[in-house]
Amino acid sequence: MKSNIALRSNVYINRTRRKTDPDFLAQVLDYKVLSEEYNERKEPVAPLSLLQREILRKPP
Amino acid sequence: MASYGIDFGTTNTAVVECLFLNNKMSATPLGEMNQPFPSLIALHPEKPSLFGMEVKKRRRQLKSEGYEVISSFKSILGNKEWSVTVGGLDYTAEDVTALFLSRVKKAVESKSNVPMTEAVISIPVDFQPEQRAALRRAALKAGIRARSFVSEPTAAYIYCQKEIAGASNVAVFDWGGGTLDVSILTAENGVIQELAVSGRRLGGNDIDETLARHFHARIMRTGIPKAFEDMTGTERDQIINQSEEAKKRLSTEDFAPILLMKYGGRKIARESVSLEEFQGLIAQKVEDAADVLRQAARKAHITIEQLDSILMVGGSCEMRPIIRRLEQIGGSRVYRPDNAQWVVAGGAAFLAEQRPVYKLQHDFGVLMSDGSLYPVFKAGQEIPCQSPEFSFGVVEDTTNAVFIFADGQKNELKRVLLPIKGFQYEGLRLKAFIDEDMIAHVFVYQSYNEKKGRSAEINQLSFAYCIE
Repeated sequence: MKSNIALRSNVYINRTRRKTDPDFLAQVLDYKVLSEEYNERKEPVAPLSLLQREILRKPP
Repeated sequence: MASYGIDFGTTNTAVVECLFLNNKMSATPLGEMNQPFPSLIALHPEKPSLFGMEVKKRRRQLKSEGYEVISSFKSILGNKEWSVTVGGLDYTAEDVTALFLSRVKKAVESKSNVPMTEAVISIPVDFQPEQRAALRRAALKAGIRARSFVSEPTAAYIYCQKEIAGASNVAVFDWGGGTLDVSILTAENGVIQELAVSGRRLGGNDIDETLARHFHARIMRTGIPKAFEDMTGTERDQIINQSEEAKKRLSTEDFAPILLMKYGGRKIARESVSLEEFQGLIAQKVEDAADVLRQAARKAHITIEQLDSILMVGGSCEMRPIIRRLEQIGGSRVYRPDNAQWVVAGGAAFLAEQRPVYKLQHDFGVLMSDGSLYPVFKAGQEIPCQSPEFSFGVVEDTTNAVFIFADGQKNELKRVLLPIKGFQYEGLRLKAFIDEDMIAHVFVYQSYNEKKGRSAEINQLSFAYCIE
């Protein structure tokens, strides 16, 4: 877990208040969450962005 | 029904009563001896408090009589550490302001038929949320409900908008008794926006003292000399009051005599000053004032040539040297309303009578992780207003959710950090409201523990005044 204070915004609106909100998931930058969402699900709810693909390729 | 506007100044406080009848507006200035009330209070351990002109005329003498003379309390409003003890009683800046406003209210009501139970109060552009809240409470303690606040330059513009119709870039040159504030406004389609403010602690009181020292030096040329600082409080009150009168006289005449009784060992001392001498004495101060105008224009990223109008308000703008200097700079674009010292209060009174709707001028919201702005409130929203509850998540595994509040141009206004335990899909709640003082209050918290939330107040939002 990062302990530093982030200098830029790290929040995003979750309009549906659900884990599967596609707009929110499209912004997630956390490896663990992404791998759960995309490596373990057969049908991910949101397409991966280039940045998300990059994060998944390089586990922490 | 008449309405009141109050220009609560650091040095002087002007009150204007406004009445709109049969499509015609009448504005009545209310003060002491045709002048705004000096913002002064004198407290004594045993005697009743004094305020306004009575304190100004005898402030140094009153000190020697055991009074605590308090000035400039506007600038310490909201400072919780400031207090003064008189007769075993502690007075905060808010208490002093409340006492002063209650005396103003009483004086106003003795001249008007309409009780001053509410008013629109003008405030400086950069008046902080805690200062606004303290002023609102002080006014309420004095029996005056602050219906709303309006920024001083905007009030001045509103009062003069007919005379400067068509001007879109306007400099409001507000030179009062203690301070000079220059604001650059843009006004388009009835929407007024403040672009930049520049100020200096320089005002009519400094000019009065300069003139008093000049007279003093002339009087002391003969007989036994005595330093200005060594004069008694009564003597200094006398020469400063006479100097102020001479200064006022020079706004319409070319020559001003003074007459002092029992001054520095002299039974009678007569002196005089010509307009040209006066101009020489205050030349540097006038130049410093002109510099503040240039600074404000630079801050607003416009040139003096791009200003459509320079609006001169405040009592010190009655002085001919500053009028001449600004006319050299701005030519015919300089506009000087009659009774410059009442203009800001007049604008506030006009707003009180017209009861405008205040609307948010730009979106206000949260900058999100992708750099986009999620609007909590949208431009055009009427004030006061309250947001629904929004839910956010964090996009990374972190110990702090970073909420950055920004305006429609994505200018950062405030940053709020909410401690969290790792990644969260949602459950970070946000609520906000904008109150009648035009302050946005934001509150972020976790859905399961509202008590551990974080809040912030934001006062840099822009509003439009829409008169229906």
